[in-house]
Amino acid sequence: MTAPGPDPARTPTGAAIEVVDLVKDFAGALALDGVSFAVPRGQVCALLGPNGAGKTTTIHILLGLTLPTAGTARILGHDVTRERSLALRRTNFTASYVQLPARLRVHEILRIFAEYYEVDDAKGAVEEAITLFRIEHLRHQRAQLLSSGQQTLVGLAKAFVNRPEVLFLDEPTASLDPEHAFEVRNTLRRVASDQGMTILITSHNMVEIERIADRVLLISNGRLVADASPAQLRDEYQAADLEEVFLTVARQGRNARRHPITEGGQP
Amino acid sequence: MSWRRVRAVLLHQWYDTRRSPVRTIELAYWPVLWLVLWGFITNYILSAGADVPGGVRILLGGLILWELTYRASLEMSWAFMIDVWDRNILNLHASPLTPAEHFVGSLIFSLIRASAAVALLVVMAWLFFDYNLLDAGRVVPAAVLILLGMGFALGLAIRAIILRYGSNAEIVAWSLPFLVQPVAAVFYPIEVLPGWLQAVANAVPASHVFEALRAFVTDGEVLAARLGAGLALDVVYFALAATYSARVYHTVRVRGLLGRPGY
Repeated sequence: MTAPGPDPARTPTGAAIEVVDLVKDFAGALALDGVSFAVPRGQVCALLGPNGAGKTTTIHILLGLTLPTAGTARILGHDVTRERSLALRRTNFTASYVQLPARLRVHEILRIFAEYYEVDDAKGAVEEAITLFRIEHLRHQRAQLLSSGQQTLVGLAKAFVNRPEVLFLDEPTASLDPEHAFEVRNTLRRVASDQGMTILITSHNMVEIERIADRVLLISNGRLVADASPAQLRDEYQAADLEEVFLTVARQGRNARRHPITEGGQP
Repeated sequence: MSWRRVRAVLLHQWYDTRRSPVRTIELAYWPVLWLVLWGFITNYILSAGADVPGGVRILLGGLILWELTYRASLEMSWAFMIDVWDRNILNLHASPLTPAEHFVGSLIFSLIRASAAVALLVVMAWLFFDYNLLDAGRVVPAAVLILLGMGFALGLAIRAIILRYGSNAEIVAWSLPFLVQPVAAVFYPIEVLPGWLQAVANAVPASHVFEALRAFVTDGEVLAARLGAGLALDVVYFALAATYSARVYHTVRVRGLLGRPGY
């Protein structure tokens, strides 16, 4: 694919992903409350938080699926609300909750998405994605006949078919067995390193995040509450592992919702 | 507008149709069933010695041409609903594909399918019921254009309704053309309708087409004003449907509905 390179001049920070003061209010339910962060090129960044914290909303805004109430979201310098197609051509996405065209064969699905992303040498890109996730045996299978784990692998192949510069993964290994999840983590890590790919990933598997993420953004009640490497977070929260950090943040968030502190300090 | 992405939409529709016996068979099943039914009805009317202006067989002309509107609308909706049923909408909207490109790809595919269905009806009506649509002469090209335009406008509106209200609203896709048909003057002239319904019928592009068709077959007269009115109404309805679609696309993104189940 001959996509233009990053244009650092278009973003103040030159970041691959940049979110500034993002607010999303779903008719009175505040999903995001002033979230800001920037992810530099080549970084694998995890977006963690309890259910309903605002992780998926953040990713959906970055993909142009949801419009923010306030704030800006940029991918490779392109404002996703105004330059959606330009931004999305250089990104890709997969999630545990999306499916693929049921009656189509795997190679047909990948071919169609390669065309949507206007990939040069679509055929070669499809083969590359198939090889990357070792799904050669599924090439001629219809999507409706795949197990959920196989669908996940095909979804990941779809997400790599345009050799994206920025990749959004929303719980990508949720339905994979430990062996496939291990292989996928290694692949993600290797490709991110070899191709300088930027990855923003959400997951409830803390072991997975400790293994692949350079950095963790912890989000709770729509606010960013921590931003550090997995090791730094363990130190900061005096926790044995990332799961303990997660549980602490989740409990704090729950207590904050039950006992909101007013401006004068009174609950 | 990327024509490569438009071609990819066509490719998706082609793959899906090839793998879906229902979608393939349906293209011929209902049109042929209706033609056979109306063919025998016209045979019966003729054998009873009755007649209508322009000849009884003109009813078959109405049936065949209305299939253009119905088929264009249905195929436009179907091309969208396969992604709703497959829960593939999120993948599409997270890709560079724009709603306009998906619409154009669907329109081209719908045009091919509608043409195939109507060609089959034209040949069957000629072979089995001694009716040649082309006898309607110079009015036919304009009629085809206006009826297709109406079908595409309907299809665009239906796609927007499904995008807004999810797969529960798919009943609209099947029923809306039938709701319009009684006031589209397909089988009878506008003048047989009650006064207030005549006003409604005059706001339907198809009713002007069928009035013009009857006038040509009966008197050899080309009612250019009728055809002009039909075309103008098409433009108005298409603009309204496009505006509604743009509003719906904005609303679903504001409400975050694209990521919810059922879309």
